[in-house]
Amino acid sequence: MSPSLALHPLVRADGSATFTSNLYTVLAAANGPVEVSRRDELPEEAAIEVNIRPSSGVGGPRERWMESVITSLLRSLLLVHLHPRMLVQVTLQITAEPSIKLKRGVADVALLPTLANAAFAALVDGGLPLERTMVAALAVVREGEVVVEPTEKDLVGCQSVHAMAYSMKGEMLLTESTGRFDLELWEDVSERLRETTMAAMAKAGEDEGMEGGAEKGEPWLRHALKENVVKANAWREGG
Amino acid sequence: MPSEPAPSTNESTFLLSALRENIRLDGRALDAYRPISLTFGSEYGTADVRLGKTRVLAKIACEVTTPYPDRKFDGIFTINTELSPLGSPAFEVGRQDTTELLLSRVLEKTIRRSGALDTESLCIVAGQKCFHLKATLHVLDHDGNLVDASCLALVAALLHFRRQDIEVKGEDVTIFDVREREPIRLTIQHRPFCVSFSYYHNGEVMVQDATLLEEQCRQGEVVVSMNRFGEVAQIAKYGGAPVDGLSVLSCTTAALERVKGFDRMVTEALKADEARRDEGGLMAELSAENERPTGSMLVGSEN
Repeated sequence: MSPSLALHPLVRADGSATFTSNLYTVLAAANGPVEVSRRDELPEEAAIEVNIRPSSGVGGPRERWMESVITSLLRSLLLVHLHPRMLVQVTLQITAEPSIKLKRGVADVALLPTLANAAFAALVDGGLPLERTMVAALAVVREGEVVVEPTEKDLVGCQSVHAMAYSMKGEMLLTESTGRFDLELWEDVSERLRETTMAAMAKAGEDEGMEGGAEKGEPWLRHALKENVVKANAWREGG
Repeated sequence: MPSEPAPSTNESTFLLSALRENIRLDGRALDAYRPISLTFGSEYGTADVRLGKTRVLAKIACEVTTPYPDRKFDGIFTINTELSPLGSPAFEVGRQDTTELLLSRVLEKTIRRSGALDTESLCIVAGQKCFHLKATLHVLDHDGNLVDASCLALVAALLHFRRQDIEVKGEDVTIFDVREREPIRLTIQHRPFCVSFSYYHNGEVMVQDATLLEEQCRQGEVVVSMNRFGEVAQIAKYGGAPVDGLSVLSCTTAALERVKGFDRMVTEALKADEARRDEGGLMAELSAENERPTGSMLVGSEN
């Protein structure tokens, strides 16, 4: 099942997106560039503030850690030097979670790709200047086999979990793993995830030509963004 | 951005002079609400309320803890209303502003202190174990009248929520997973709803369901909370200008009509949600009740 992405569900935020993966649903809002507090101001680039809000209760150390991971990822995406002494504010609200209680470490890593994709889509929707396009994906190793975009059941009793993000040029932007694995396995996983993420961004028609293109998933990100552009330019057509 | 940008002088004068002629900027009648939609999530205890452009998501979660030592027979029920920049860039993270403070106070008075939820039913073993019910409100879009939307979402979510079933044998408590035993509803004693009125021109003009712009220009507000039987849970008046006692009475009369509408809407939405979940009559199939043997069957077994 390919993940689903809806752009601009919110009214007040500059950019917003709802992203649903096999496991989680995250609602992201991006505001920027906005005024920054004196304390966080950076003289030569925009400050990035990420807030993660769990579906119930208030955030704790786990959320702070995920925020730091997403912040550094977004720093590599945004053209921060265009907006010095300003702030780009990203709020990520988790709205649906797996019903099975997962182990803490597993749940943290499993959530990261959904957060990253939602945050990226919100930035695109908000029209913030970006350096590159990216897609994040999740994989688990279960009984020695790599499962890409796992379901709830795959996560229970898996050996290791890997979250990775790649840019359109195939550069690795994020890698977080937990569990037991060796370098060889990690390389195998990263190659599989690279193929999956590339397929999500692939040009229309290009993936059919590739061997086994169908099983790597449809280019959902490209479809979603294209739809958005078509909608934004609809007024020109009528002219 | 520490605060919402104030409307310009032109904007506010225009709005106020229009209101003097009983005209609202969006063409609604003074006592009309924006279109309301109430939807429930796939899991129990999530309600999404849209009131025009305002959108609030309420979520209920439940866990087992020890009760407060001075309230041994009661479970714990907390309401968390933390505003985030999702709703408006003016809301800062980790800093409580007046909107949030008033919202949480009104909800506390309306739902918790009016005894809408029977906290005694959340007790498992007196003084040792009880359920802690956590209600979290997420304001996703802020375009005025957060109080009414939040209260509606919260009551709907409480009615929609099911907690895990338990079995107590002496000191031993078994908590059954949702997959093992059908979860059970909360004990709700009554359903209070909030209706807020904004007033202008020294209380001469009263407006229901104000938008953000109307809220920014108002002199003050009156929040009435009541259930459909007209039992008032609380009346709060915020803002400097005085209001006539009689107009407060007319507020409660108008609120009663509105609350009846809310109550009907919630009941219908719950019924529709139940019908959606019960597709194919699965609930009937899952029932543990034994089929009563009919007369002819009894005769058959005797032979």
